[in-house]
Amino acid sequence: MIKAFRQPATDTLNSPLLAVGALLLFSLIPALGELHAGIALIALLPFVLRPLLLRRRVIRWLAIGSGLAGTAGLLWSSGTEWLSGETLLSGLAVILMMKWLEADSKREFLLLSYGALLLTALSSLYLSGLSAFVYLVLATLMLLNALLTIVHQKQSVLPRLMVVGKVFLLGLPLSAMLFVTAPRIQGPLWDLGIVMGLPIELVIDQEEREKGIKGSLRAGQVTRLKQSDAPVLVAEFKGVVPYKSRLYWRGAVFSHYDGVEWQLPEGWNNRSRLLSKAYKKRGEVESLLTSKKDLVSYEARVTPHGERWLYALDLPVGRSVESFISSEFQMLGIRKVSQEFNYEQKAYLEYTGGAPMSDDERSSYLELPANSNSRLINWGRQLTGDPIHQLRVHLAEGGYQVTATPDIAEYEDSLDEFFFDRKEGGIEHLASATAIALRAAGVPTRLVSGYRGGNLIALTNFIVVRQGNAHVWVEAWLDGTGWQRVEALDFVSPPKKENRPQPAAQAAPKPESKKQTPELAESPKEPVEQAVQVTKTPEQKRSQRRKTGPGWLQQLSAGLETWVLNYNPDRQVELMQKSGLRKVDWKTLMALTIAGLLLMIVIYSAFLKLKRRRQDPVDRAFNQLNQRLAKLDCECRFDECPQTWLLRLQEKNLPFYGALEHIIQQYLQLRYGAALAEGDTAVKDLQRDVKRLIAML
Amino acid sequence: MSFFRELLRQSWRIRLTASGAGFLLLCGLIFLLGINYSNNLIFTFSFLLLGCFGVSIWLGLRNLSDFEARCLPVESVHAGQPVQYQLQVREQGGRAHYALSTLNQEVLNDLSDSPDETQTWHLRIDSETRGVLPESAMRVQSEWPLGLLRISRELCQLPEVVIFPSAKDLRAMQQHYKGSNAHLHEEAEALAGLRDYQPGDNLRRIDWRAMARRDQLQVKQFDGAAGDPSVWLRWEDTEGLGYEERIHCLCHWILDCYQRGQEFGIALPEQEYQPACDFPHLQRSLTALALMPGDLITQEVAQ
Repeated sequence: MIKAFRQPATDTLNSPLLAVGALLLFSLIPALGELHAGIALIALLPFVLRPLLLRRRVIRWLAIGSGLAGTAGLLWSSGTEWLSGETLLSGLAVILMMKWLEADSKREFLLLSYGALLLTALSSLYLSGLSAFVYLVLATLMLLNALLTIVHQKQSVLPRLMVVGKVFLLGLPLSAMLFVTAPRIQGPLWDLGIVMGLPIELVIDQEEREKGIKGSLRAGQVTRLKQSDAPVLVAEFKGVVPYKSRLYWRGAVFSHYDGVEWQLPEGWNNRSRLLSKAYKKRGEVESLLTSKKDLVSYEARVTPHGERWLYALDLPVGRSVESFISSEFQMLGIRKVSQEFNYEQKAYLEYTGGAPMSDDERSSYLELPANSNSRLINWGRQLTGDPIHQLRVHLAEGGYQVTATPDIAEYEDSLDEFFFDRKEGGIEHLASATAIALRAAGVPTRLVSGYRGGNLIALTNFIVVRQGNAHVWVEAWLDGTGWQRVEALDFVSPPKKENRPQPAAQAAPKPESKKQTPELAESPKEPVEQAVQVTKTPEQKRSQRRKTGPGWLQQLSAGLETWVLNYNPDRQVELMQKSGLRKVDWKTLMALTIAGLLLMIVIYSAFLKLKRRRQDPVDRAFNQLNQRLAKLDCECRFDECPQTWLLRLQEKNLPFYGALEHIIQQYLQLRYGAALAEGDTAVKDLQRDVKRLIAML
Repeated sequence: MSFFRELLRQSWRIRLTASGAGFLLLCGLIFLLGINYSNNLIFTFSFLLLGCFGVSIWLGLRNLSDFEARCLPVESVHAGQPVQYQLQVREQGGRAHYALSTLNQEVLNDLSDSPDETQTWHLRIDSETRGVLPESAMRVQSEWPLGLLRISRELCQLPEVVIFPSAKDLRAMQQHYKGSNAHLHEEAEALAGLRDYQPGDNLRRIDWRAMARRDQLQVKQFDGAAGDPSVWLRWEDTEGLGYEERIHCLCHWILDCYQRGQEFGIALPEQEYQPACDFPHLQRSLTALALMPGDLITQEVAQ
């Protein structure tokens, strides 16, 4: 590469050093703002140092060593985790730049180009929408330019750029085909590993296991859980996967509230007591239900968490080994879950019912906290008629919001503050306020903790439920009907963008419309579904921020959003089904991709052949004849003059010599003689005579 | 079908280069990144790269198709000298062909996009030992455009070439005369007739008038004075030297006689060539030496 610097200025544009350097710089630009200022400076330093330190190898190595050591020091001093994304990005950027400082062989430049590609992919995460797309397209073009410069240094700039354009443009149809048909898998790679059988506990550390709801529930507890993305369970559904918003994974059930904390009853963890009240007989749970629909079957694996809850889908009705269904419809383990636990279960997604309530139970479910939240209790007492409906209307119209960062202190009147003053709080505040308000109105209620939704692994029947899906909801007892779920969250306003919890956004329960059974698909969309439909993926969120710019830019941006950014698994399945595919899974899509590739090969091959045929008709006629004569060992060699050829054939006394001589004279006239002016007629004559002679042969 | 038959006949090969393997690996890595971040743009990026990879296969195939070559007759050389092949190449597709090379990485000139224009390529293959360099397929390869794939195909057949032994002056020539003096046609005065020109003939002996009349190169033959007596170059005379050294020595004697214009006969084990001093005789003699079997005794000892 030293040579490249010594080359004359005209060759500078052909220098791999420049092409790769430009690519590296370009790949780093979006991430520059995210890097530590010192590290960004170190990363950019080689562009200044390279010309200066060119011939001083020792100084160059000193600079590289100092740069790497400086980066490590800055990362250490800023307290960045060694395995974090920032460390990876910083390390990659600095290493690549330092390598560029001393690179001087073809192999090194190739390595740098590929490294830059990886850096580009990581940097693009800091951009969104159209700008990210343009950035990646430009990066691809720059990579092609760098590769061409490295591999074919002699080529001048303009032809090289033309080749770059040609490769890119010709590659677009292939890329588009792959983009549309290749199975669209989304989600963290760990999820795929879990789906493929990787033990869940490998994914989570000990601290994460200790989290979760134990014997009590305080405000902010669920909100904190939502910050974690540790997996809780993986479920594989038999058949279609229901709407994620309809999946309630049932955990602890609370009835006693002291104004600050929900608590489980004394001895709640006593196995003998639990087993004595459990539903053991087949069909016993179903017999207690007054209404039930949407039965689903699934198999689940639960991560060890040290408690009995197996977080079965609400409402579990099947039987499974080493487990039982408690009087509160929880699925519990005979033993505490200290290692990964597998079970098969069935559940009704919609149900009402329960065992007749004793007076003691009723009084406990109507218990109000003493000396706390008096305003809420008084408000609840004023509810008449259908208190649940009135409460729903109030929540829907009251402008309530659930936030990921509730700012309400833990004290006796915290629910009052949430319900009347702030109208913004955590899911615990909302559910607790609902339960207490209904109790005040005379409706027995209980608070159920667990998880709602999950992350659907695209093109599979697997759902991964994470701590981020942690949830609490209320069950209300209606005489004659039994317990029924009251989901207050469905009646409040969707959270503000900045307040949306990230895992929840990822697990946005967008309906898998085409995967529903007719029965499930017909069920009305719950308000929360409508709400979460607004809650899009991170890319959508980013793209929503830019709504300014010229009209055409907005249209382009909108098109890009529709067909590129939002081309998620659901859209892919939808498109394929609209195209006539009945069953769409990863196998079908893979087959489609292979078929598409084969089709592309045929098209490109045909194009190759067409281009070959696009030659002068006179030459084509001559070549056709010559190919036929080659089979008789009489062909005209390409370095042989047709006249000489004729003389050679004359000696062979061929029966068709006369006709051949006539044709060759025509050919010579058309190629080199006056017949040029005669145009199409002479060419057609030649073609006709060639055809006749070939037929004779 | 004829298109695919042609592909088969030309024995096309496509191999991934180290750079290509790295490129694909990286595409896979970026694809995984797209999965991990559920990022459609990164998916798009990986597909864009794969699209470019696919097109580079197509462009590579296209770059190597639609031109043909024919090898002109090749002259024999002595061992250690390069065999020089001359290929006449004709472009047929109306487009340029870039970054062409032989399998030995010998760079060939780019072909311009002038259809049916014949260009000449010169190939050199080093010869190491005497014998026959067999007929072989000449393969042309290219890593065009991105260097991700190395595509090669058969271009033409390179003809068989006899590699003469190298000449070494290891011993003075033994003068065994045949008894009568040789006919030194070149020195004679009386025209004996004409014969076809052969490479190596003295250009001053070309009959230009005959050339003008018949459009054919012919050289004059004289039947004249007697020259030095013809000599016999015998295998036995090199006794004491090693097997290959005897061949080198005889080769030197042959060339020496030919340069001096002295008629020579050659007597090798089980074969003998009568004295003469023309170019074909020289070729015959050197070919006989070139095709001498290997050192059987040494081979037996080695076995």
